[in-house]
Amino acid sequence: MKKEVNEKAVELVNNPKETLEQERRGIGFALEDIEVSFSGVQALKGITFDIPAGERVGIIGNNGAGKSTLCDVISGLTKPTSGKVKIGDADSTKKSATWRARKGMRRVFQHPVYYEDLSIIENVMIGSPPSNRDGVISALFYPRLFYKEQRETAIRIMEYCNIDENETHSAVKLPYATKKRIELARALMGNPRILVLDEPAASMDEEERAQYCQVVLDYVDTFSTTLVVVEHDVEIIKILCDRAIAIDAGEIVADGEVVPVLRNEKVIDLYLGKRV
Amino acid sequence: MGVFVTSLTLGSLYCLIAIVLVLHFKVSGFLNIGVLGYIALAPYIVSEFTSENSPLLLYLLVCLAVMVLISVLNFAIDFALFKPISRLSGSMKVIVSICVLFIILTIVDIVWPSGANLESPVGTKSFPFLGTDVLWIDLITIITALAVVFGLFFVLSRTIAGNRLLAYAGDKHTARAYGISPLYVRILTSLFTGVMVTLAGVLLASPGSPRAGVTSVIFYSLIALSPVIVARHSDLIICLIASFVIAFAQTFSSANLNAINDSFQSFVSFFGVSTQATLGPTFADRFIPFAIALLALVIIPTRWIRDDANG
Repeated sequence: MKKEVNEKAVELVNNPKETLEQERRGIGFALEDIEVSFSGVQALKGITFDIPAGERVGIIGNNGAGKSTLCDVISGLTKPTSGKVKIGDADSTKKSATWRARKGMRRVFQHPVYYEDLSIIENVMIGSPPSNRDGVISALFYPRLFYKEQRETAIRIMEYCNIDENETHSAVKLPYATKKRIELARALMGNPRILVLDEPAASMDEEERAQYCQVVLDYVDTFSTTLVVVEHDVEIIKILCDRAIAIDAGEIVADGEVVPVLRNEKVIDLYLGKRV
Repeated sequence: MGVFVTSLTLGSLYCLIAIVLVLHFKVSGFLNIGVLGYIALAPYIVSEFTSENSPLLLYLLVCLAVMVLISVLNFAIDFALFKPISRLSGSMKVIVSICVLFIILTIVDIVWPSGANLESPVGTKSFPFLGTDVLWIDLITIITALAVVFGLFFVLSRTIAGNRLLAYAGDKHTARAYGISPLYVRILTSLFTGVMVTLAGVLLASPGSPRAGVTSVIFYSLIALSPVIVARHSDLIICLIASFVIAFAQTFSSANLNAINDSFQSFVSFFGVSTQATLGPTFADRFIPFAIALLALVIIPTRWIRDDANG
């Protein structure tokens, strides 16, 4: 099963695997003493960690612990009040979300975002990596250039993510789990080098969850993508991640391999309420 | 047939203007009334460089240059004025955009105090069609406006750039996380605006046009707000349909004013009221478009609320 899916992943684009790996290989990032305050309320307090390229990290914590704010800081949607964000070797603290996306960071949001004016496939194509080839000038003089090519890639990615709905339909009335898969496909369309998943398995049944995790695992394994998963469900963290960071009230309470972190007394007291 | 052609011409013009307003709303989140100022400005600039004897090529080149100029102007105003106030509420931004409209109109008044003398190469020439004389300017207006509107629809739905613009309009926050640059979207929107408002302004002010005259441009631009209201400032297709419905209602009621006036008189006399008031062109031009818009505003949300209640 695993091998078959891996081959599918390589087929996502028509390039040889070596080229793919060069283009898609994960990059690491680091947060140094990150603080975030909203109207006097401190959401993150001195968060520091380093995620090497290709590592799969889970972030766990209670509601209001600051997980989504942390996701926003990583993806550039929230600027930290103080501290430093490094992506690869570059100081990216003041860089926008757009810049980070161009560097290969992709975020899957907690509540699936669906653009109502666009069909399913167009929603997936939105995730394609922006390049100079499709800038304003190309848009004016060659509006259809690369459209077909990207459409074909989007169809392959949709198959890879098990989306079998008619690609030209609107996704407004699709089930929540399908919308989540569409959002994952959109993220994969961008050849992510860092993939940030915010509560990916929320509102999915067990089968859907297993399918979703299989696709994510397979992709990050094939391309050594750096993975950050923010999730309540510790089972998902156990499946997807090698390392876990537990946060509470905006502070890191434990950081290390998944099982030791889940067995940490503080984590059990603060978050799980029971021994895992 | 004449009434039909006039309705189509007017509908095409409304459509051009209303779609610019809707596009601006989708991208910037507020109704940018300032855009209507460019519609008044464009024919004045074109009239500076052309005359009745200008060759068609020169006329087209001047229009193209004005499109670029207005695109740049729109981008500059957007960047210098609306970006810094992006945190203000939508209603505040609309008020600021009305100020922009009046500033542009004042500048036009100062620079061209005696008005513009816009001449087009086709003038008031016409050709016979199904027993009526159709003006060339009407035909040009219908073809050009519809070509531009459908061209825009094509770009939005079938190109990567258009899809990105719609995605940004749908959710600005997440679009940035997918690498869609706000600057890219602003440049594209300004370009579309430049092309569409220049065409709308020049066609509305052309001699022979059903609403010719630079001074009437702003009045008819404001009427184009009614399809924007019907489309609830977000749906481009409804906006397109509403533009034509409003133009047809306006032109047909204008053409049948006597019959409508008779109905009005018998309606008020039914209640024992005798009135000297008659329904004139004002009724057709001002009352009809906005009455339709307000009626749609009452009916459409009621239906939507019912649908929501039904789950």
